[in-house]
Amino acid sequence: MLALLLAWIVVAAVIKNSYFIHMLFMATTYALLACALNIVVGITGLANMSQAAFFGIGAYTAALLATKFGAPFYINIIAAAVVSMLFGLAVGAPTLRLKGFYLSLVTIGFAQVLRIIEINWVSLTNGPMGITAIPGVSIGRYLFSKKAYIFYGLVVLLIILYVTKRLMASKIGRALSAIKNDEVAAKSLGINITYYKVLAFAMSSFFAGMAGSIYAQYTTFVSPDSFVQNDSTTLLCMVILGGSGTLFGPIFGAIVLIFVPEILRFADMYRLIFVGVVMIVGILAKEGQWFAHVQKFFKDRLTSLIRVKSGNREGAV
Amino acid sequence: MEELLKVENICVSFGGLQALSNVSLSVDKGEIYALIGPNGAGKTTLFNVISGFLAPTSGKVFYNGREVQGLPPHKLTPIGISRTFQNIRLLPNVTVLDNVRLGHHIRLKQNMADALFNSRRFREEEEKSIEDAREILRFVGMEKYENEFARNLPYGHQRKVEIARTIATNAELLLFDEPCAGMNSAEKVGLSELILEINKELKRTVFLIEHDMRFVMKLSEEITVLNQGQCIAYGTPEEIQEDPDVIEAYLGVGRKGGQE
Amino acid sequence: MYLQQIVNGLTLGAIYALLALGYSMIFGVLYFINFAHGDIAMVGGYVTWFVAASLKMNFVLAIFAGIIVSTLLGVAIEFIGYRPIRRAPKLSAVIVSMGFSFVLSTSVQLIWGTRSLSMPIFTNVKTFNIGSIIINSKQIWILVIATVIMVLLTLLINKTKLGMAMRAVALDQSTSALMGVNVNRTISATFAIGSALGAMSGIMMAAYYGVIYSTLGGLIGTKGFAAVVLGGAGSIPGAMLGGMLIGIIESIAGTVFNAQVKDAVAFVVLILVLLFKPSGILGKDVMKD
Repeated sequence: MLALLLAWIVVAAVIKNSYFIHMLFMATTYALLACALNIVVGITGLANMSQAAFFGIGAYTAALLATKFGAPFYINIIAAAVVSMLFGLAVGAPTLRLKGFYLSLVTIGFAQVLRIIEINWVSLTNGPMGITAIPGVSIGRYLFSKKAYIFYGLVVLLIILYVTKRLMASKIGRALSAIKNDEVAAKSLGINITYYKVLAFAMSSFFAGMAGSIYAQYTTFVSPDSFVQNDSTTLLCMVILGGSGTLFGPIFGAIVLIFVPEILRFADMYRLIFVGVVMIVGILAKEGQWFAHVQKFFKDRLTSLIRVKSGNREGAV
Repeated sequence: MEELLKVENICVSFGGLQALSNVSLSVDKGEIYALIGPNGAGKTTLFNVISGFLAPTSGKVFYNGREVQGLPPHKLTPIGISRTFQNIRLLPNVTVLDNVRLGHHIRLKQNMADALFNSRRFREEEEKSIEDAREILRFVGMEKYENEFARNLPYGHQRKVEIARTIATNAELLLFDEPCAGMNSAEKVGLSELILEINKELKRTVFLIEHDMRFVMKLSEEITVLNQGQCIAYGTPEEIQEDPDVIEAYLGVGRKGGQE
Repeated sequence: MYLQQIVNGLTLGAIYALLALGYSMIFGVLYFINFAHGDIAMVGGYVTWFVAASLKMNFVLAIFAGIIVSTLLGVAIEFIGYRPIRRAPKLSAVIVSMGFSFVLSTSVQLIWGTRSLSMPIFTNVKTFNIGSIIINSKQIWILVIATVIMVLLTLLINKTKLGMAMRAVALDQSTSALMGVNVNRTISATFAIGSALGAMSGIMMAAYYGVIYSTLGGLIGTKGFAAVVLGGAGSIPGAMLGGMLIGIIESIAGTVFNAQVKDAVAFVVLILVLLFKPSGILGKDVMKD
């Protein structure tokens, strides 16, 4: 894994082509979002279908702070994280008491309502036109190049990974995984499951907000179309297929779902089909034990083949 | 003897179905108490009420003199009630040691900052927790399997790990729901010895549901018999064995079946 | 004026209700929201458009073609996608259903493009004035057909052997299997009926507005599940009631506020219901685990 990160850094340092830089930045951002989502989906086992909405809240917060007040990037990123987390609490606290599938419904509904607010509250968000000319990140006189944002993203990614790793080794992580595995058992051990679910939800939206702030200052432009339901679903897919609950799995998921369609040079439309097929086949292969069935199928064929052969030989003898 | 748990006129109804009606009993500190009765008598329902998984329709539960009915499980465990389940509820993909350590959840003081910065308190607590969990595993005789995933253990061993987990919570009252279901007689003997040790050496009060009459007769000091949601008898094992109502409702069924 | 909006709302609501019924039936037997449902409905609409507009065939025939394709699609999706993972965590099934939703909606875009296509059904619209209310022949057709379908469905569920099997499977799969119910076949039948209802809904939606477009599935899909939640997940009468209410609330909101708010209203209702009465109006209490 360390090798992957090193490779990432080396590639980021070497590449010059602005298209590749953009791709690598997007992969970093999605890796970030997927790792944040992993806390809720992978570790705690909850279906959050609005990660892109929290990403958007972070981006809008940073965009507004940067354009209206000229706030420096460290203020932007922290404010974006906090605002996004507050939204996460507002959505999570009442819903996480309910059965699992309600969360998926509420998060989808929340994302849609948020989008409509983004489009209609023109005085704040500039409506469908979005917020333009967001100043980039600068430290002193140094203005970040596009490439620098990859490193900015990587630093935040490392922070998320560190936090996740530390938490997984603590009482909090054990409680979250107990909730994922067996809520009844978790309750019987004195774990306040609503509290921990809300905590996981808040952490995930916190980091998603950070990603939003980086993205806003990188692209210098945010609009309601930057954060749509398809992105949330794709992120969910990255987490589940990459290996939900593992530390680095979501990064692999992000890499595959960002780069493969790009390498295959899919048009935008085909990309969604690709993501859809990956979601279907990936889950079926994982949960339906297709591999086991296929293996058994060939094994049976093979053994019958061997039997026939050896039978022939015996016949010959 | 001092009273630890008192159940007073508990009624539970699901829709039109009366699962428990006016059940009362009291468990003393330091004893082994058994709840027996045929299938569907409402034994597990009563456990669910006591452990906070189910709010009773009416009636009261007192623990150490405090009224606790309707409190959620996560508030009952810290004050001293812990339970096992009829269908074992270990986390299948977690090691035996970590399963037991989950029992430490309520007593660990570490917070998020401790965990993030690997503070001294965090390290000490984690070490202590691992040590304690190992000791409990030794106590139940499962120390060999500490790094095994719970799902790989045979049934009888899983039971013991689940019991170890309740011990880890430090709860004074342990509720065991049919601890020897699905065990052979040798395993049952081992388990009843273990329960006695938990009672005598660790000074925990044990309240158990059991199906196997012989198991209960040897182990417990007091017995309540439930049938169709009602207490039909209460007494020492000897008294219960003599009780005509019990023989009728519980043993009788078996005997008749055997004779015919 | 409100009376007029209620008539318009009922028409729209009947369309939503048909879709919500499919969602709710599938939710009832498999306990997850089939996110591909709206897209299955939309495919029905497109097939009808194709047969009626491109092949220039009789529109009744076109409607049947749409229903048949959706039905087969629904059954196939269940067979390929959901049956192998029935015992896996529900989140997996949800993701597979979203995958199918992506595949269906983008396939439709690839085949028929992203532009709106005009639906050549009910071109000859007559309007009637009843007092201050204006009602047109489209609305009458939709209301009549939807009512007939709902009555038939209610009879099917309450009076037939299949309906009984569906109710049994919804209650407890393993017990109904022990009682001799063929669970797999019942679930297939549920998907068939649900998808056929969905197709009806998709076709009516396209016919009502006179156009069909590729995001229609997502649009009515979300309205449909808002209706399910409002009425109570898993409840058949709840889905009908929920659909009607969403339609009426939307129509009224559309005149009081604007068109965009109209589309958001379903979500606001959805969130409010989930916050204050998560079991919905007619649902069983499924609030806590």
